[in-house]
Amino acid sequence: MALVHAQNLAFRYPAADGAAGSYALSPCSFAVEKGAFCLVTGLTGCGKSTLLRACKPELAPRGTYEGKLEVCGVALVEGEAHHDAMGQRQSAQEVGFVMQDPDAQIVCDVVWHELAFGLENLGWPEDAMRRRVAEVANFFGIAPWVDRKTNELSAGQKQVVNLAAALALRPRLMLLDEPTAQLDPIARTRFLGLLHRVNRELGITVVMATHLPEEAEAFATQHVQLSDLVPAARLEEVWEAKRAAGGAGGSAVEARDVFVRYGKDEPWVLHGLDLNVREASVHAVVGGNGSGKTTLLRVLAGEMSPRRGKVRNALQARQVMMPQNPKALFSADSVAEELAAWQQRAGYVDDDVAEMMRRFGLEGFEQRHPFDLSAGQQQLLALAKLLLAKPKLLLIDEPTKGLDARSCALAVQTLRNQARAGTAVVITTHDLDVAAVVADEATLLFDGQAVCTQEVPAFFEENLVWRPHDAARLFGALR
Amino acid sequence: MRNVFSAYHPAVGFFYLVAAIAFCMSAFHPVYVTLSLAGALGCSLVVRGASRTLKTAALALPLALCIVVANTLFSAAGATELFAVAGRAFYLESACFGATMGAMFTAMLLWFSCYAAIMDSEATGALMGAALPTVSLMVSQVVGLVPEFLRRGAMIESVQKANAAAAQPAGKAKVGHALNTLSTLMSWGMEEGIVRADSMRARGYGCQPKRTRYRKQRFGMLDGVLLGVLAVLAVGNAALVAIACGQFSFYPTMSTLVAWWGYVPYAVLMALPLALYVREVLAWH
Repeated sequence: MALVHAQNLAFRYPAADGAAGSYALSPCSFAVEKGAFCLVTGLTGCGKSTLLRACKPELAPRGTYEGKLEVCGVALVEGEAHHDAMGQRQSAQEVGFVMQDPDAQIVCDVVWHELAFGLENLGWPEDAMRRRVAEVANFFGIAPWVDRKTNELSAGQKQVVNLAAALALRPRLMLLDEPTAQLDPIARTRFLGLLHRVNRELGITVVMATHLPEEAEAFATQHVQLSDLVPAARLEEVWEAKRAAGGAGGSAVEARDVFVRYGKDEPWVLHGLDLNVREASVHAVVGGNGSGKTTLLRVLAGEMSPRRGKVRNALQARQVMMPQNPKALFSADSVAEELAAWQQRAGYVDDDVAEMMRRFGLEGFEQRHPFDLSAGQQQLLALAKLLLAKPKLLLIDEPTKGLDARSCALAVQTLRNQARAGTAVVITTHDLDVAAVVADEATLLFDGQAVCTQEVPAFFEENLVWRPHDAARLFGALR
Repeated sequence: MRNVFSAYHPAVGFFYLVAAIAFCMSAFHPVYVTLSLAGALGCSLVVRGASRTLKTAALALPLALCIVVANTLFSAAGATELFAVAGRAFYLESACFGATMGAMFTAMLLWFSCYAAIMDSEATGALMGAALPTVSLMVSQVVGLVPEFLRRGAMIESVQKANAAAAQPAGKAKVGHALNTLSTLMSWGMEEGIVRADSMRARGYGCQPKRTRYRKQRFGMLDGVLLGVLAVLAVGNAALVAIACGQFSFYPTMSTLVAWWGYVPYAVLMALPLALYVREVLAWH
């Protein structure tokens, strides 16, 4: 029996004049059988979220539908309208939903309460609730920290709690909308491993939208492509092209013997760190969670001063910095205003703004609120805004988080071009594929120190574990 | 830190502390104040540990001394003259009044710190959730939002500072920064609110009029018994306190204090945390 059955399903948001606008989801047909693990892929903005949300009545977008959609045996779409034929109770019980943002989905202050939240809503008796909560907490390995406050958890842990909280209701179908887009690679692998177990051991049908299909392809049983994917390519091909490009200049930013911590009783985040960033080059800082990458950027920006050691930053007056969450950079009500925000201060013209929008594929989104863009588009918008300030030093925290292969390649090429034009670029990243193709030099941060800094091909050739993939879609997109 | 009430439902600890604090504030009588101070010290020692108790006491002592001195100097009531300076007499009774007040102040400070230690946010949440489930869910969300907003505000400010290539002109800088930060925080918060509402509805929030509640700690038989005993002690002591305080006065001469069985129930009430602690210690020996 198919749990999800779509026949020529399409969706359009209402346009400004009330009529149906252009397709947010172009007609698609597929069936997801019971027990399947289905990946939904496609370019940013192709309707992955719309498709998943249409399967969950409470979250279904309002607009004009076409075709047919059946979920768990209930006809949700027939003709133009989305029928609320399922009822909230059945929907909550049978269809679980996990969204992208790990923080915003969490409702309660303590983990055990979050796990029980759905059961409380459905009016479950107390003893039955305890049993369900105990079960999911054990299955997901949450038991040791079930008493922790939810706001003290890492993003990866939060997302596991969100998955567990949805599964406490024992749904037949789990829908996940880019659940790993905001996680680092280690948390991502762990999350996908758990999701695989949910599918295989509990027999729950999974439909997951993702822009990084590589990691889930190994255990996915089905693949719905809403638009074509970039074919993968080998790293060597990209490396050859990059090697041909020119070399870097003199020192732009230098940190020597830097010690930093966040309070007098706190541990040292950086202790004895040395780093030299050269002009006209991209410098990638890689390292695990909590190795001090973000702190290092703040120190280089001169925004935190070291307790010991020195930072020399000749380009401080011409620097820009992108925080890990690009939202911290947005202050306007529309994409167009956002890009024009620094116009007077940085002295650029309207044509520059238009050119930036074209380059980053933001045309057509001028009037959209920055927060209504997808996470990937937000990342690109933030990058565009920073580039308009014509910086000589770019400090970027995780520039490619949440980007699909094509957008990621765009970001990589943009940063390469910046370096070629003489800008010094420092990025932190978890993504070694990105580091391999974007950086001239890379530094491995471990335990608050730069344990090694080398030119890029050499940096990775000596590593056993910290290596990029041999082939990836990103490399294909860069070719 | 050992919460002596951890084996019981939070309601027990809550009721006990509220009773102890209420008696401490209302029973202005040397014996009652002494007992309350002793009880507060005992409770603080076992719940918060010696060093934190000493810190609180060290904070309270100078203030208590000030109260004693001030009352002796400025309240010219009483009959037993201690000494006279420049024709102005100072009396034993007002010194005693001040000492009682100082002791009461110290006891109160200790009781309140015990309350903070025993009734942590989880215990408070468990109690409030029982009485007002929706409100407590709302309060816990709001309480979580405040530090989140502050943290984000600091982050936004630091990003603005770091973006020197797009620095504001010096004059307008402050107002502009503050407005930008506020606007970002508002949009961010509202967007998150929408996602959170979706997440709540996706898990059936509001699909039926009455939610049930997952309680970590059940209210058991023993909790009921203990609460009952506490209630009896509280009511009994209230009557005894009223009698004792009615018969006692500081001025003009202090009433004589005599041994009276009526103090015993109060001593029992005050010794409860210590007794629970000793029971636990004995059990592990």
